[in-house]
Amino acid sequence: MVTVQRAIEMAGIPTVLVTLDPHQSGLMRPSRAIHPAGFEFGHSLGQPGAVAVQTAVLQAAFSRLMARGEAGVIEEVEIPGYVGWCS
Amino acid sequence: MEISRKTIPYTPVSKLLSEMTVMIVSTAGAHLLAQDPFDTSGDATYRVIPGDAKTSDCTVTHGAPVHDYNWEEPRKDVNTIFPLDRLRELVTAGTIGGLAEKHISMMGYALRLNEINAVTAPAIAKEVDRSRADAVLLTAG
Repeated sequence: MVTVQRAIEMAGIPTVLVTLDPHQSGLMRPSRAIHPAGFEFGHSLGQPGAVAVQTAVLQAAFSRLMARGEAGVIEEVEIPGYVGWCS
Repeated sequence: MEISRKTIPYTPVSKLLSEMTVMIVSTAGAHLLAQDPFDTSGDATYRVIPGDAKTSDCTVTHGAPVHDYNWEEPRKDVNTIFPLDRLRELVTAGTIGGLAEKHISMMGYALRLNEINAVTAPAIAKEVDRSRADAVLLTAG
């Protein structure tokens, strides 16, 4: 995914990535990224039907998009109300 | 243009969030029920999802083992990986300016990395550039 992100940034369009694999994504040093802590694969934005959780992740992603954070650093965010599918 | 992996391409934001048109680009395998599913043995193609698509008309096809990426979850609610409904709500609330006329989806567990790097990623970047989106939200499952 970071390969695609880099190509879009090079085209002049700002991006923000929601990643659940900060280790793998971090190797590619994404321009801007957040990691919702504790989220499981299949739930990038949250569990099915969890409108508040999904919206909170989007708001965190857009905060990261608009902030002057350091490129290549993945911001870990805590999102209340998340329930994983393994639970 | 080829650049070093040590270099991080970074485009500054030039608009207020409330003025931005946002596009989704995802590798989580979402597509319309009416579109060809991804080839789970390896697929470097992508699908264009219209901006006015109903999430009830979307599904997910992905080659990852379900214990690595539980694609059964976004089949219940595609907003878990492709948040069209949530973004529409943020447009209504005035948080973002608008939703792009199209979005892009591919399958991340594609097993064809050279083709993705050389062909698919540049093609997606062109699609984004032509769309006049102001910002892109990327999701990976």
